[in-house]
Amino acid sequence: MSTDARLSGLGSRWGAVPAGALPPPRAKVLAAKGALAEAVGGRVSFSDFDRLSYARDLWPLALLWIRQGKVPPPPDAIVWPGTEDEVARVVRVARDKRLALIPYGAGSGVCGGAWAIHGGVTLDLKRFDSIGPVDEARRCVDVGAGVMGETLERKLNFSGWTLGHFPSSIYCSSVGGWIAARSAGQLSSRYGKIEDMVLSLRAVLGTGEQLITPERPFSGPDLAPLLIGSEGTLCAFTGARLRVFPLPEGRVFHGFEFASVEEGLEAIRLVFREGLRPAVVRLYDPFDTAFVGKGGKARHAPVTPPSLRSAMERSFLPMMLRQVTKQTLGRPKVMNQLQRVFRKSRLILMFEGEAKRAEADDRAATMLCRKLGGDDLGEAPGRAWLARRYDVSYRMSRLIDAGTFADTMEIAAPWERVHEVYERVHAAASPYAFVLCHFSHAYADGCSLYFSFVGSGGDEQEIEQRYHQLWRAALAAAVSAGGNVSHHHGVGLLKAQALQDALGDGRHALAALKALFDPDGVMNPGKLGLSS
Amino acid sequence: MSDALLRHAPAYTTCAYCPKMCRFACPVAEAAPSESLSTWGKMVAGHLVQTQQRPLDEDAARALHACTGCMRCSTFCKHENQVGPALFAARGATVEAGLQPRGAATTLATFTQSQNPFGRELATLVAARRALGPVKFQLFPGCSALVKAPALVDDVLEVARRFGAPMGVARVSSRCCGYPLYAAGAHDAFREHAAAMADAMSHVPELTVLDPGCALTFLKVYPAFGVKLQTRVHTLVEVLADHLPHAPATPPLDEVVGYHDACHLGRGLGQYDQPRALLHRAVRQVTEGASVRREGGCAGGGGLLPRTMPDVAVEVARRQAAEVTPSPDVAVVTACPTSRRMFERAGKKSYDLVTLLRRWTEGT
Amino acid sequence: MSSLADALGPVARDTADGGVLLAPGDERALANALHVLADQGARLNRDATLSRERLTEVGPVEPRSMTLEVGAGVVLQRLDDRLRTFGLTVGPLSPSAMQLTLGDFLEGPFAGLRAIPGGRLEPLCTRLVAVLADGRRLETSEAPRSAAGPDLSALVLGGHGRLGVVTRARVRCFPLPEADVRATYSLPSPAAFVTAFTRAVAEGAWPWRVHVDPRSGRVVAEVRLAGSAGAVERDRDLFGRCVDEAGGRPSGDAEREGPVAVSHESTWPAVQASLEAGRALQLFRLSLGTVVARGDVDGLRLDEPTAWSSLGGRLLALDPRGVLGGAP
Ligand SMILES: Cc1cc2nc3c(=O)[nH]c(=O)nc-3n(C[C@H](O)[C@H](O)[C@H](O)COP(=O)(O)OP(=O)(O)OC[C@H]3O[C@@H](n4cnc5c(N)ncnc54)[C@H](O)[C@@H]3O)c2cc1C
Ligand code: SF4
Ligand code: SF4
Repeated sequence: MSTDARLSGLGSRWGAVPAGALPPPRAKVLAAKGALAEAVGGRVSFSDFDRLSYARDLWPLALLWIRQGKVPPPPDAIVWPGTEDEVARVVRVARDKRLALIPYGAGSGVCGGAWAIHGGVTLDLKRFDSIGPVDEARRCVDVGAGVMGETLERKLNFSGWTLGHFPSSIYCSSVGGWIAARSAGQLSSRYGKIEDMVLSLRAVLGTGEQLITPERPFSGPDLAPLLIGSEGTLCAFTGARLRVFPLPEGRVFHGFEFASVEEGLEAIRLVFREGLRPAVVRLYDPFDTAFVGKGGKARHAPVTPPSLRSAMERSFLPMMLRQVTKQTLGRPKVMNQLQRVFRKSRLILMFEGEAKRAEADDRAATMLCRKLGGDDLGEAPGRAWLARRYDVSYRMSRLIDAGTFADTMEIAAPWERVHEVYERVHAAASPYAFVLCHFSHAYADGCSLYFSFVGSGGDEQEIEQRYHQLWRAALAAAVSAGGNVSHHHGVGLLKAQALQDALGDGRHALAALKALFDPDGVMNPGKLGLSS
Repeated sequence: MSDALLRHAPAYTTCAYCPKMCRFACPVAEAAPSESLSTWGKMVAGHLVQTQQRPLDEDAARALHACTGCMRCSTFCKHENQVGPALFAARGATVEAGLQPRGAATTLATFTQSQNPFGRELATLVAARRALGPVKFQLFPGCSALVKAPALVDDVLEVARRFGAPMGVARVSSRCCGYPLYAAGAHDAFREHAAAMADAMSHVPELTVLDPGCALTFLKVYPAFGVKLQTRVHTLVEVLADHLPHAPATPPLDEVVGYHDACHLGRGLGQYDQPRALLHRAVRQVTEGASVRREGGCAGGGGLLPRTMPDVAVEVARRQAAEVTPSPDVAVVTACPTSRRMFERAGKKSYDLVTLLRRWTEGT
Repeated sequence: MSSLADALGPVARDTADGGVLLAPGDERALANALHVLADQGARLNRDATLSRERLTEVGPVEPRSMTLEVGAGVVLQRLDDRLRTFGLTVGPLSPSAMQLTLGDFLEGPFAGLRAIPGGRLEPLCTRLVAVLADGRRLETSEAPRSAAGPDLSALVLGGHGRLGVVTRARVRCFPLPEADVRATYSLPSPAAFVTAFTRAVAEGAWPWRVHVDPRSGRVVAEVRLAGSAGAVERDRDLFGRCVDEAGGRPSGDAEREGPVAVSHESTWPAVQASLEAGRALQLFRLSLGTVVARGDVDGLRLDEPTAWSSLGGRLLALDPRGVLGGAP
């Protein structure tokens, strides 16, 4: 069956439930209450309010439901283990009673990975919150899986180190979640994705076994890459030894404007071919360049009481937006065609590290960009980006409040295919949503594409329908043009079928791993397309 | 639905749709790591109540009370959501529904009986420290200091004298500012109390307030409830920092201390430099945490958390103490009696800034 | 003909030493052979030896991503020779790695890893095609990175062919260097050498090889830098600064031959210990965590398979028929 056909059931398969009338916890989970409580020293909850809090992650589909007073199906219970033994005990209870276990980091996943589609027990790992001292000689740190990203980064910075991992969700995601979903930060081109930072993992398998993966060098296959990205379907991560870097001594920013996206992409390709590793590389497509990507002034700190601007944004803007969206985002194709009048494409580069090296690398990149006709915009766009680099994540509230849907799709492709993937996804998504794209996370052999979609419709039903149509069309176009299914958001439920299709025969290998590490299928059933 | 809930409706909704962008910042959610107690979880509770999607239940009520009002989340909220006030407003609904957590309910009962949260007669405590002669500054210590740390009030009076800013405890200090009513969600009672207090204060042109919680209540919460004060209110650290040039030229104590920015003093009133100016004169070395000033952590004492979730409150304090001090034997210093008490409850050596200033000026 | 070779058909032949050599030409032939072996109760790597002599096809070069599809039987040195005509190279692998077939490099102790600028290790290939123990085909994505589930190529890389047998892969190349220079430094101690060189690698230097020799209280390190003229210049400058900060200085010492010895994957502390014991080393694949070191040094032997870590052994359950031979 094609991705397209399989995804068509997406909306209805996991029915939303009214926030005000949750189904009661399943009898078999209630029956395990005593055993669960014993496993985690009493830290278990069956309360409706807690079940509501854990019913969703940040898959935007849930936001459409929230707007209608509904939520995804909630877990029956939540447990908060604090030791590996406790996790192992919970796994044993789950195996014994055949309960689904859903590992939960901070719930910032955007693909439904933490949804409890079969009910069961959500396993919140945030009590694994230790941050060890930095081992300066070996440049690493031992961290609990439940540590929040920003907390870790601040702690490291305080002693002169950095992890170098800055996902836009750094304020709201956990180390375990990063590892589980193969996260990438904004500076990945220099520091790597999370899998590059992991030296060793601590995990409890679906068998209940506790393990620590060996650090290089060791003989035989490496278990870590088989667990990283498993999104809770094979194990629960409890901690990791992560590589750290000294805080950069210098930073150099440079912006360029190219006549077209193609030229901008070529510049990135040549920069990486030259062996340069900018910490930041972001190329905005023409519309993003024309409006969104323009480097304005960094916003000031929040003020108390709320400023006039904030008050405007609260009441006036949503009302305006609601009016405008009907006219514009309700007819995205027209909007998308209009954007074709824009051609220019803006690139932001940032080099950091040893100051002289960063400057030398910047000079080399500048020469390449100029040779390709890039207009030198100096350092302002880069600095402005840095100052506002997480701001975009706050926009979700406004967009949802304005009656739209909004989502992002991040995929990667080898250089031969990047532009075609861009064009094909753009065209496929155009009838359903307004489309923006930027290119970041570059490599010598390819690059990731990050699409933003905003759409609307006549009513909630139409909006949800369009949302699903959009994803079907965009994913199918991406894969058929030579892109992959995900570069860093993971798979969850949203891309489960697309992954299974993309794996081809390899899906049996994934299933075999599942059977090996989670023989009773209790770990996060249904995610990655793996059934219970 | 109450006007208060309606007023905060946009804030609740914004949070309900937000990708929890302040998730890491909430000290309560760090100490009691449940999504339900995260800023987002608590504001969603407000959203559900305000939109009447769910009847309030005990767990949602508990969540609405699981906030110290520290406003650290707001520092990281680009929407400038005023989470503390929004959650405190929603506590009104818990009072109406009779679902207040026990600690909040008992506080309210005590307050109703004795007009302060300790059930103590404050007038005698005040009388003992009234100035005998004329003084430059009228001091409002706050009932917390009067009841729980009377020696601290003596420290204030002594330090003020040595700084050339003699103080006496104001008679009006025998009344509580009313913060416990506000934090417990008894908003009508709070408004009434505030109006009466403003009236009682009307003959005091200027008041120096020791407890930043009281100062915040006078300066920010009263106006939000439509109560105007005739009195000019200053914090103690403001006054002392102003008089620092008149302080004795004693060398700093040969000590290392960690500094905790009390939330109501810092984020609440924007006073970051004054306590530091005082502290840096008084000791050789001051350490701070990875997050400071507007972004600094919380000691768990606000919002009645020590009464509604005592263990969580102490855990908040324990974490913050560890954050601001490089090792367990280094003491925490703060300019807030409530924060200091929390550190003490967390088993951490701690001083109030004024106590340290006294030791410094006395060279002990 | 032995009965096993007979059963395997044209993909197999007897060898002079009485063994059976299995030389499939594609994935289907390999899968069939695995089924036959299983039916016969035989095992690859025990009752039959795999030859990838027929898996030597080399596809066209994709100049933009600098990748090409290569049969797993192609010897890396030959591939490199061929790539030169396209202005590309497989890059700085160690001499012993260059003598391996692509399949042996990916499956063997090298685990298919190479170092890229910035000191990270990544597989030499993007997409790989393999036949797993159950005879099914595994084909991974050719996109540079993916977050779509576990990285299944880990069933092949470093797996000694015991979980899956690679048949071909999309190899990532580098531009053929336009400059190739050597710079020599003298450092006050092995610790200073490790400090300077790990720093330079972390900051983006990309040495192709380092010869390091502890002599009369100092350490002399000769580094080979190759790449574009600009890249080599930048790397040389960076090395100069890192060496300087570690208390070293440039040195005029002439180039020397490295020790002819076994290669190990070693940690930096192991390298330092070896230098402190007065042993000269030749270093390749310099990364943030480990290096490939030729000489007398502690580490994982790279010239032959050694016993797996117990966790890796856990994966052998993925071959319930044991057709790929079980634990090495
Ligand atoms: C505004 C916003 C911006 C984002 N930007 C980025 C970005 O720049 N880069 C990026 O990579 N991602 C980004 N994301 C996606 C998301 O933050 C990542 O997927 C992140 O890795 C999820 O971490 P989490 O702790 O929130 O995990 P969760 O959402 O709790 O879980 C994600 C998945 O991992 C599993 N899981 C979580 N913890 C564990 C554990 N300890 N053990 C086993 N399984 C576990 C869950 O079961 C689930 O399947 C963004 C999300 C948002 C909302
Ligand atoms: S306070 Fe602001 S950042 Fe925090 S959840 Fe609410 S809207 Fe988001
Ligand atoms: S005000 Fe403080 S305690 Fe309350 S939700 Fe915000 S961060 Fe948490």
